[in-house]
Amino acid sequence: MNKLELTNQANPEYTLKVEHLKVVSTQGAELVRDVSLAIKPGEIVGLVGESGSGKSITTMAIVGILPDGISIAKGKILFQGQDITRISADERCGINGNKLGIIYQDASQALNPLMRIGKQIDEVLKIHTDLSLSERQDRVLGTMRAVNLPDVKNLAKRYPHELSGGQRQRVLIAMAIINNPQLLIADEPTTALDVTVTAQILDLIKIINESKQISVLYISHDFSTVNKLCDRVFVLYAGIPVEIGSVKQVIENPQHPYTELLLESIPTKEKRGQKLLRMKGRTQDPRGPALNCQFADRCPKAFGRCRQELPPMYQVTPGHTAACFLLNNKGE
Amino acid sequence: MKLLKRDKNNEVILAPTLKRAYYRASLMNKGAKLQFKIGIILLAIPLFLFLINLVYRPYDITTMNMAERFQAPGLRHWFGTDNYGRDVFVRVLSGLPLTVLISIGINLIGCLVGLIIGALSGYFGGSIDYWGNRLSDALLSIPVILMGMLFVATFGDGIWQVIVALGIMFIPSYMRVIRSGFLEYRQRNFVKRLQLLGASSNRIIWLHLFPLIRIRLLSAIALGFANAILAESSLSFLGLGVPPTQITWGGMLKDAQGFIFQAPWSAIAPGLMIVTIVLGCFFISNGLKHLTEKGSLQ
Amino acid sequence: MLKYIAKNAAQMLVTLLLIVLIVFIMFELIPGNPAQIMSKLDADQKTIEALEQEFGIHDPLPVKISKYFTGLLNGDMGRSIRFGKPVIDLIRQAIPVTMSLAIYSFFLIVIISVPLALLASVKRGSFIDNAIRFTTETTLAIPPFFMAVILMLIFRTTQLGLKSGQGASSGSSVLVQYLLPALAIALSRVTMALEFLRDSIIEQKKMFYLKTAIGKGVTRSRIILTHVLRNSLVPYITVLGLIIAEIFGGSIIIEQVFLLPGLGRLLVTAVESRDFPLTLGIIITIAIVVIVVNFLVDLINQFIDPRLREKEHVALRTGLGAKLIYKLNTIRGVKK
Repeated sequence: MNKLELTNQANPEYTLKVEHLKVVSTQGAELVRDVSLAIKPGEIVGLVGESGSGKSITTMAIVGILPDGISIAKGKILFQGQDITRISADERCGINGNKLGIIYQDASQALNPLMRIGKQIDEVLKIHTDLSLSERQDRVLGTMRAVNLPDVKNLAKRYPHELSGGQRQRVLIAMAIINNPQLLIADEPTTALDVTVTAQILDLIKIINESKQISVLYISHDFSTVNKLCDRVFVLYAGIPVEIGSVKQVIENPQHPYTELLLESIPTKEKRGQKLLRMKGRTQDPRGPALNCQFADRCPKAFGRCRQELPPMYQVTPGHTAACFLLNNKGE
Repeated sequence: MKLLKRDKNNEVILAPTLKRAYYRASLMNKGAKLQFKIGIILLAIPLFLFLINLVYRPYDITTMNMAERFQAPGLRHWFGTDNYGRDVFVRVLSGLPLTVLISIGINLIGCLVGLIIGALSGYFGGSIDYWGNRLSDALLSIPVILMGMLFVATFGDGIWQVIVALGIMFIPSYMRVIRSGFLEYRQRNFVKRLQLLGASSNRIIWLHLFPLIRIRLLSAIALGFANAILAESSLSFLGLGVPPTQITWGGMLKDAQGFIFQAPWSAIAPGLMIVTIVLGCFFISNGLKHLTEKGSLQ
Repeated sequence: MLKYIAKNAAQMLVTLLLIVLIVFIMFELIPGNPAQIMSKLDADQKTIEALEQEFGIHDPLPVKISKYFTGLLNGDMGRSIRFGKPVIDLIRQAIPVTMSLAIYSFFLIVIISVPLALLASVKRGSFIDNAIRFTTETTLAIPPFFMAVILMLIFRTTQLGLKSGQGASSGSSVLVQYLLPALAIALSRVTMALEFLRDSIIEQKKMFYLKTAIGKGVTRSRIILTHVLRNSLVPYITVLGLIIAEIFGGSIIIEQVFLLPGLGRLLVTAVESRDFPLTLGIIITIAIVVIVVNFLVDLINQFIDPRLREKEHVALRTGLGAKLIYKLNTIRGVKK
């Protein structure tokens, strides 16, 4: 009852809004420096970056599973207008699995190996609804069918190790969407899968998004999947968004050198026969506060200012911004 | 080694947790050192008392003094007296050398045989390993004390009988410790390289692999020593094994049971002696265990 | 499944055969005429000959073993020299006492270890955790008979009305009557179980699937009870199976302390009177119980962890076994 009121009352413009999120460890390392994100209802937003860019930590902060010793230092995470950075464990349990579903990347690790598939999916309903056993069972089987799992009745009695990788990922998706959440967070859901299965899973996420109007936060390091799936994309580097825009804008007209390099390292038809680009170095260790452009050391176009100041967000076209001093020069 | 170090840096995201783990590990190492020290101190107590007893022995072990039955511990009788007025302190400490010698004997048999079988089955695997395991399964499904009793039943009472019987029962646990150590290392590249160089199996086992499991073995020996004392005193408590003419802690406890409420100290003194030594060995074994872990951390 | 049971049953028989083999080889090593030793010195030539006949002293070893083994499969363990009755009858009389003592202390071990292990693992590294571990380390160092003495002293002086010395003769219910002996066994054997469960819980708590559970909105207590605890059970149950042998070992001694008419006292009598068939019979009986329990443990574990049923996961099983044994023999303290 209470929960219902809250959602109606807030009636937010954004399903999820992250404002100036900063996540630090007890040692003072800044893992996420200043991330702001917004996801509208029904939108699929991509969060792209290398490992170490802070995209996983951002997800963990949203779902409330930050490891010991890592905590949110600043900023808000507004989920349907409610700040979920400082809520109690009970409130968290009311949100997770209920209004917020999450899919992890490694489905073989993400399922309890000793519990039957059906029971694991059913657990969500058991916690969040008052449905009877048979009603729950119907819904579990229905959702399993909806994510294109074969022979659901039989499959529900199986254990995770008896399923294929793609099936396990579908089970995770079923688990995440069974309660019709407002937001689905997909943390690199296709990394462990082969190409054909990846395409199927992406299609499935798209269908879920369209049919149920569920917003999706899609985390990936791979622009090609983002391109297929997302409406808008945030490119993250060393805990800071460096470029934001619609997928079309960012891919067709990348402004930040990092985005450019990321895009160039994707193999495409046009680049056939050419050597693929390999970026130098790797993401810097996130340590103290960012005083200059974090990408400057690896950037082929870096100049003096990049090493002295932190670039602000420059608007390229409406809805498309990037944090690079090159844009400043262009403006001049 | 280099690989591991790079790994440490790679996990930047988890650096804080990792650091925490390292901090914990360093704490544990302190804890391990502490455990080792506690163990030494615990073992030093009976040894110290024994040394005192060598110099200061006011009473005879067997002479009875009915006038001083059931004396509570005090200045005259440090640990009190038993039902015959014999001094418990002197009696308890006179049982120490025999107990220690029996334990050493048991572990000598268990360790030597276990080392050979364990090394061979761990290094070569195959049918030696299979039958070694079956045999140790069989031995492990008989409680240690039963085998001791069976041995005594067939060969009669005696110190050697106890040593041999319990020694046999201690083989499987040593065998398994050593086997698992050899299993762990035999797949390593340096072993393969040695094999390619033409080093004999004997050489690889004893010169290259054995030193790697040395500390592990020491830890097992400390534990084995404790278990041997427990097993021997259990047998003596049942009145089996060591002839009743010899003073054993188990035997003393058995005798003390008859007058436990008149003179609880005559039961507690030998009991505490067992517990002190066994606990001391446990702690030393634990400390050594962490030493190995620390050693393998680098 | 059936195939597996058959395979394990075969392995059980092999182990049993090995035990008989070991015992008989020892028997063979006895210097002098075993029949004479068994029947003591005062026996006349006729008795000795009769004994020789009965035990087939002059048979070659393989014949002796196969005779005994076939007898065993038919429930025949020979005749006791001391009591002159069939061994199997004597054992049948004594086994209820030992079994109930063993089962009682087994349950005490479970009752003590599960909550304490949960507490220790949840409060890992804290004072409580260390206190629990230190205490159990100490109880492990206390041999069961000394534990019994301590308990007797404690309960007598605090006047709990427990007639500890009277054992089976007092009329109170079995639970009260056997409390002290069972507690004496359980307290000195609980450590291993507790530590395995604690380590196993700590290991499970690091597992990634718990993040899925949190993502599903499962509450903390439910995560611990339905996910973590259940998944930690396999090593725990395995170690419980291994403890069974120890429980019987403890029971033999404790029966002597509390004067309970069980297998232990029968065994001591048998050993003291050199009653070889009875001794062997009791040892075989206990070995059979231990082996059967471990066989059941394997089955229960497969019921809990379906991965253990599959061939390709044998590695998991043996890996677990190796870890268990390594731990059993070397560590009793903290892990990493």
